Amino acid sequence: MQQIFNFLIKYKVGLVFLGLLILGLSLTLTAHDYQNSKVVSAANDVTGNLFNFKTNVSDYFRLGPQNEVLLQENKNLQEQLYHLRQSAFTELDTTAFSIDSVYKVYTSKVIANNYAYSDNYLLLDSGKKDSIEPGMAVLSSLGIVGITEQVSSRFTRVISILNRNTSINAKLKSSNHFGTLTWSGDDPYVTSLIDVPRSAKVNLGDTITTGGKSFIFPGEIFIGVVEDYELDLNRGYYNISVKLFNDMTDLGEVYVIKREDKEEALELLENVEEE
Amino acid sequence: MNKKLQKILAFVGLILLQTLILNEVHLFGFVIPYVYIMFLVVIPPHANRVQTLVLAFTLGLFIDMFENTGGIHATAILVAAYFRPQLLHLTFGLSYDYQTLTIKNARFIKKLTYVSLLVLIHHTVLFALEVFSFDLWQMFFKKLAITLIFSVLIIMLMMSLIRKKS
Repeated sequence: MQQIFNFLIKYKVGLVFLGLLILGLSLTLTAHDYQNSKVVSAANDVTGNLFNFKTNVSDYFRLGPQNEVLLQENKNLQEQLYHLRQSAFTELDTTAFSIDSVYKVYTSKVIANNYAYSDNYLLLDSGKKDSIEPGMAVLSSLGIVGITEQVSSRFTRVISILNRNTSINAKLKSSNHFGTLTWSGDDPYVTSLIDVPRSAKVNLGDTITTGGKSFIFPGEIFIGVVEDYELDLNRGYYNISVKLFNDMTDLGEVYVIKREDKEEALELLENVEEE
Repeated sequence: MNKKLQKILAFVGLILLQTLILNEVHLFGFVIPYVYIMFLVVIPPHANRVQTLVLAFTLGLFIDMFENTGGIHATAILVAAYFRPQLLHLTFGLSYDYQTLTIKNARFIKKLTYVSLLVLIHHTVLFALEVFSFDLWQMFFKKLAITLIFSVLIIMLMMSLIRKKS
């Protein structure tokens, strides 16, 4: 017994080091696995409130650019509205609005934004009390931002599109060929669209939008333009570099979008699988 | 008591400095100087080793929490903290062994060597765990080299500020 204690005391530094090292490494490993990445997270009151305080100060320095973005968005919406009014006279389509209304839009604000790592997360200043749930789409006025992942009562952690674990269904706007949007971990302005079939016609400058083949993102949301592409001859798929419309390094106000019939659809899918 | 207060101030101050100011820097789009490792420089050279390990790990874990990075900062600063006595012995030699060393009053070139070695160990572990893929080795070395320069620069600047005050 005495010898065990002597051993412990003699090697206490090494043992503490080893113990903490194993703890740290296991936290790191679980964080690289998307399913288990929620152990050490910023979606809690301490970090959330601190980031909130910081944003309250730094917001004043970006009022100008933010106004510009809002003005631009208002302009786009106005244009769509005029367009809609014009067409409403010719053919009165009462179903048009009911289709859109499966999506419910909430507004929120990004209070912490990382893009220096190869797996990045954002923090929003709204949570359960603002009816945010995991698995909702996060958009800015210019394009897609990420997917809500972990929700506390007042804050939400969003897995950014600048994260190697995200894969989002996207398509070429012109030809409706689908692919998967991923990130290589390097450039915060560029993501890649992989697995686009070789039958697709890809041109530089083509617009990429969301595919609409998921219950998270609505379809036809702008993502970016084709900056570069190459055909993977072994697999017969295109790898396309997409320059994002969205400046992921400067995010402010965002929209969180919920698809109201998501639970129903998922339930249906589960039932089919069970049978 | 005063020593303890200084330690607490350094601990909290460095977390706030790192998360509120330095994490917003993003030089060239990807460089964040990691200055919180300065904690290992400002605590006394002969501080209790077990206590140092635990404190350093906790400090790293706080940074991880703010950054949503799992445990990479905690692991990196823990490894640096573990090798601290060896580095002190290597750079300061006898004055460390005879317990007469105060880092504030050491010569500039020795301080620079000590800080650079600490930051090198920390950043190597940090970026290896962060990139976590052999395919991205180019990105690893690019990040390591550039971040290293800026981290060391800022730590040295802050060290000189501290010396003036006392």
